[in-house]
Amino acid sequence: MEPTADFNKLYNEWITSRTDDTVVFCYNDVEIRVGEINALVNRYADELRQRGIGPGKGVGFALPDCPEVFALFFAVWRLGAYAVPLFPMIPDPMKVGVFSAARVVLAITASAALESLAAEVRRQQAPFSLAAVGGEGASAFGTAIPVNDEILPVPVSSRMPAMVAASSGTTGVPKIVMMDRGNIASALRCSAEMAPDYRPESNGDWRSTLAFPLSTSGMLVCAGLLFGGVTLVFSEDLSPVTYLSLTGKWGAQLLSAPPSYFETLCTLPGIDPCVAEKVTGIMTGMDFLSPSLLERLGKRFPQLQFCSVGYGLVETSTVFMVQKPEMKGDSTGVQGSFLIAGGVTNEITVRDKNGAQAPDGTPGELWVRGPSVVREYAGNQEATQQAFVDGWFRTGDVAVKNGTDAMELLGRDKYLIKRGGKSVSPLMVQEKITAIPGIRECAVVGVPHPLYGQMIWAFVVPETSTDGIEKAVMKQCRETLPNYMVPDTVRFLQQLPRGRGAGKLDIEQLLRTAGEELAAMEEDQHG
Amino acid sequence: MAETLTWKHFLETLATVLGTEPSELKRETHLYSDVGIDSLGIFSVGMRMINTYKVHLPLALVSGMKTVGDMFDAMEKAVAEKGDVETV
Repeated sequence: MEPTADFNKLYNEWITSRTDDTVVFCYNDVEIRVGEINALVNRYADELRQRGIGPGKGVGFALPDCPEVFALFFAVWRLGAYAVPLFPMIPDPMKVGVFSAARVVLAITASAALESLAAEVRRQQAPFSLAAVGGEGASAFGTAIPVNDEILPVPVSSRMPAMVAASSGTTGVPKIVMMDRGNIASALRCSAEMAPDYRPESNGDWRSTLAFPLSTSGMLVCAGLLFGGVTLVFSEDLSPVTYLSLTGKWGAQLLSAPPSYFETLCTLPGIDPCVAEKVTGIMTGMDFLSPSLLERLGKRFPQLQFCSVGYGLVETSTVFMVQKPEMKGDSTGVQGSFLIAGGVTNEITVRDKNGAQAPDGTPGELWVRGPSVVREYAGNQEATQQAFVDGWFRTGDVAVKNGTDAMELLGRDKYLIKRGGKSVSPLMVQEKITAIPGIRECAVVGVPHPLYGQMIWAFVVPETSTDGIEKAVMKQCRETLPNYMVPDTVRFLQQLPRGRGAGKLDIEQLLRTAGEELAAMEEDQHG
Repeated sequence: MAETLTWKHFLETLATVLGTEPSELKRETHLYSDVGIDSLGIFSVGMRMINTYKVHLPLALVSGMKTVGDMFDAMEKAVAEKGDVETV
């Protein structure tokens, strides 16, 4: 893959460098071969084109993990259109709102979810049509149309929009970015670097079981691995039991998941030795991989000898740096620099508080520029001016630079709750909770937890009675927020702790309260 | 004070934590695919059950649960081991 190659070129290289019977996906109980995926991509592209999808048109997705998701993404990009992927568990009103704001002309969902989404589309009088995959019939969207292999070429350029994604940023307010075709081509190339060895002509030498939702970041990383020669093993069922079962069934040597998911795996009572002995590597991202976790994984998977960690943000079209620490069999193994992913001409610099270049070895804010970096926040000039400076994007993350293309990451922004590798804005959750009748006020905080990174605690002050309030809070949050933003715990207080003077919320006091409760529970369990 | 574990009470507790109705939860309801819990959220639910029924439930058991029935069975076993299970 060339660094700035267009998606269509990358896709065609991937298809033509393999035979049709090369296995590229192991999905639940079935193997799926490159010829089948290519045929599906063609069929989707053909049908999408007949529905008016082409350069500059948006297509929304809200689908569980399945091979069709890859085929849809590829079809949309082949046509020069842009994708707007959403988690399927996002409530329908939010899906319709985002799809409308992103000006999609078509939104695609699973058959089972079509009816309720259609009702919401009608309710909001949203200006896009709907289609479903996964239903009965020979055709993707219910209309039989012959496969057409001659869809391409369509006129495309690297600056054409390819994917709409939301960044939570450092202020807690979501910001929208538009990745262009150059950005996603870079993302795919960078993500491919996470594989043990980049072998674009293969598929089959390495098999990796996935536990990433195939939306924005997950899709780009997993497609990058696919194009890098890794065969992907996955299911719509992300439970750890199924994950390990698939790993064993398909003989995957690699495990790909966020660190929090690996934490969950480490809590399982026992792992089938046939599975444990076969796994030789892990690939992760979205959050820090702690030395302790790597060490514990090494005990669970005794043959573990490879680890790679991707680093990136939505504004950098996800992964643009990769860390491949040398495995030493102890807790020092995770130490090591992140390197700019090869083949893409991104540049990094570390700046001090005044924006001046920090000397090598001195901590500062990591800035990046290059083909992976988006141009702006859509419709948000103020945020764009703050974050994009002279072609550089300010990541908000603290790093130490080691030479031209290497850095050590020291920390993430402190304003958001980091739960399971995802950023959660306390303000967004609080807003939903305080809208419930019978609640006077609430505070949402991130409570440190060994598995979660942070877990979401909502401290709620009711107007009078607590009767039914917890259920109402959970119902409201489940219906209006993505599932990873739903509070893990709801606690009632008569009033929120506040400092003197301006009466600023005393978050530290809330954290102490949560910590004491967790400690008491721990005591109950082990004492 | 520990609550007494019955299928009805268990469902009411679970429904409260999930913000849903007990009638929407069946034994075969999948905690991940149907309810939308993620691999971390399942521990929150497990913690709530531990607190409610005052039982010992290793995290290893919680992370292996897939369905509402799995969770109830684990709770029933934990309560039985504690010695005060009530027949549902």
